[in-house]
Amino acid sequence: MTVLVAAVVCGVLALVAGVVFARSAVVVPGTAAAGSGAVLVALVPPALPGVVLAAGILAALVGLAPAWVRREEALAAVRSVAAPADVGRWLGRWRVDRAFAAFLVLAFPAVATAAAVAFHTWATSR
Amino acid sequence: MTTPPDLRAGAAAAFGSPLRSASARLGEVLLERRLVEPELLESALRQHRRVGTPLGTVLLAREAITRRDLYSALADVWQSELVYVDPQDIDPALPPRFDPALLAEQGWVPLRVETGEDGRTTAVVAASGRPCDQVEEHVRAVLGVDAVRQFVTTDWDVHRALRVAWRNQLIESAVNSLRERSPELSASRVVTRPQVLVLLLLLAATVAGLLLWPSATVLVLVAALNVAFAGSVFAKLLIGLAGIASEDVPREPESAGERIPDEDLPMYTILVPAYKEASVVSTLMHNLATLDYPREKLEILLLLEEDDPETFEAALAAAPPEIVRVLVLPDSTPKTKPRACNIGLAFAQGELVVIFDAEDRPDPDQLRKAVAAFRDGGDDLVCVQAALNYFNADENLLTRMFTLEYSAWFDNTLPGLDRLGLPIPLGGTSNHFRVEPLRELGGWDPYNVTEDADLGIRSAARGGRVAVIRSTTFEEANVAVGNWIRQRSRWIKGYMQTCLVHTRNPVRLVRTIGVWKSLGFLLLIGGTPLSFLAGPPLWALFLVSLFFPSVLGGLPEWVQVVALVNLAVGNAAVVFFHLLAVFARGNYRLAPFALLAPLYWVLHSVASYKALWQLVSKPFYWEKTTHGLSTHVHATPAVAIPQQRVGEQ
Repeated sequence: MTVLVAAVVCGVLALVAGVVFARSAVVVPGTAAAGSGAVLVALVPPALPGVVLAAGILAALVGLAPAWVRREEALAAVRSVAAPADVGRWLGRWRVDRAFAAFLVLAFPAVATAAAVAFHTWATSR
Repeated sequence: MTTPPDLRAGAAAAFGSPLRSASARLGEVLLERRLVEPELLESALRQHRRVGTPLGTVLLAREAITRRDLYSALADVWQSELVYVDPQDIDPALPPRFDPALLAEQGWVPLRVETGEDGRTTAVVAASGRPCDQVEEHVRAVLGVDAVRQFVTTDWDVHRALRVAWRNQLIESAVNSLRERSPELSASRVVTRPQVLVLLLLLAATVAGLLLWPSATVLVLVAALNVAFAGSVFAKLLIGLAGIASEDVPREPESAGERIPDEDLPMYTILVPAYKEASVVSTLMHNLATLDYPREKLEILLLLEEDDPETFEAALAAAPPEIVRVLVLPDSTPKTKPRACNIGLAFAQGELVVIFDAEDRPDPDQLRKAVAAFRDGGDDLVCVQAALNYFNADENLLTRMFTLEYSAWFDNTLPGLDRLGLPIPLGGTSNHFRVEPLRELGGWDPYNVTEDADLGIRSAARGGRVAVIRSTTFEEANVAVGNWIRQRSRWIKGYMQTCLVHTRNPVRLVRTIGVWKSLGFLLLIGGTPLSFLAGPPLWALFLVSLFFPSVLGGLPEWVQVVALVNLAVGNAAVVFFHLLAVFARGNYRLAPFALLAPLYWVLHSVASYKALWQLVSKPFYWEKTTHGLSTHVHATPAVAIPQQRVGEQ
């Protein structure tokens, strides 16, 4: 029961933080979302496909959100980095590279956790 | 040529009222000698009033006049004579009696002592400043002469005389100053006797244990290694998370209102040590020309080595402007970058000093940001570090990995250290210092091959603070694996040196910087080489456990759990922080390569074993990184700055 409650809390936290990450263009909630997703998978390994799917949807939002465009423009002005390039753009505003990077950030900890748990299970059951 | 009256008045104001009667004549003399046109003088006077630097400096920065012509006019103004100083003519008995650092700072050199027919002794001095009582008193005090005659010479003549006639003292000071002042903080001695004793005891205990109780000894070794590794992983995780929490993304470009007025900017010295950099030294001039700083307040010291005529010729061929001074350093060992910087520091005239490498492309506003950081940072702020990144990130897989690593380090780890109040190991370039505290610290340790990391810790031990600024210098990422390993083995060797130096007396370390900072130092500076070295044996154990589980069946479960956590969390954390690093600069295209970070780690382990071997065999050897290999080096820099931004009107 405790595990289930903890898993639900992690799932909700991951979703909320993920949405904030996508809409606000701040990395901190992205880290929180990724961490929560990883804990959720550690608690309930079968949740992995759901976490990966959610990460994909949130990443698609990151690829579109105007806040990320503003962030890149501000970075380009302050840090002398190249202004947002056309490379990676698709369907107007959507940036494939940004969305894929966001997907990796959100999904990687959960996938790595699932792999570690699976390895541990296999190693101890040999 | 007729001198307009308003220009006469302007020239009179050029040096301020206290010296009005003498200095007022500079503009007039220059006009009388037809060395400048009235319009040019008028413009220079406006700039002099706006920026607050002497009229002569403005004219030199604009390359409107030669040094010799300027000093000839100044000699006239100061009612003295201009002399040419040949270093060979300096009485060899004099250099040992005068401190070259003081002479460089005050801009004069003693030439000889003359004895008159009446037996009175007179010291002859050449100075690049107005003849003054301060110099006379000093010379009288040191030499006990009856009189002092002061001539005028150019500042370059003074520096050349110092480099030649004070050669031995300069070398001695640059190489041995820290070793003599604070031997316990110098890496000139790799390990102390107590450290050797501890290492021998550990080795003897291990060998004895392996002979007498092999299973238990292996268990203790594996457990100790894993616990230490776990500590390093935990520290990096904590620092990385703190770095993420301190994310500071601008919402809009900084407003022009925050710009510090030119008259409030201090004199800035840029040190550019360059050895065997003939291929990139010409681009340096272009890169530094883009800096948004008044040229009149910039001094660029290009530090070249005596045995490197190619770079010297390339530097001359690049026709450096007047604000660039080429200093050919006397040859000596150890031939390291910190040794060159120490000599450069002796000649630095600025209040602030920064180091750039020859291939560096600093953000144009970096100096101004550093000034603002020092202005707002309090007196204990000794150094500010700008971020480093690479301009050739997409050249090959290695440069992509290197860029990811640097982004994670400078955009995440260093801000994390800053936020946690831990000592910040400085990066190799783009560290900006207040000159006086830096001199008080003893400059850089020429025996430490990561002198920057060491200086950050030494600064913390003296109560000084290091901070990071939101500005970037773009460098050339290594494009070749061999070159990368050479560079990385030097860095890891330097971390080993730094760790050994500052753990000579652990109690003193804790007393000076506190428990928290000491722990951070040990886990970061000590933990980094340790984790690289520990990698291969731990991977071997992992493979053994995978294919021959019975061999390691005797390991307690907690050790196996710690090992698994190290493997999983350590690698996942490295990948994750590399992934996040792409968001700091919008380099999203590099994200997939972050998944290869564990393989990149293998290269670090290779470099770490080379570093360990060199720590024993060639501790002070400076593994030279070859620059100019990138196809991007000779490309036009990405940032084009309007002429106005270099401080000219």
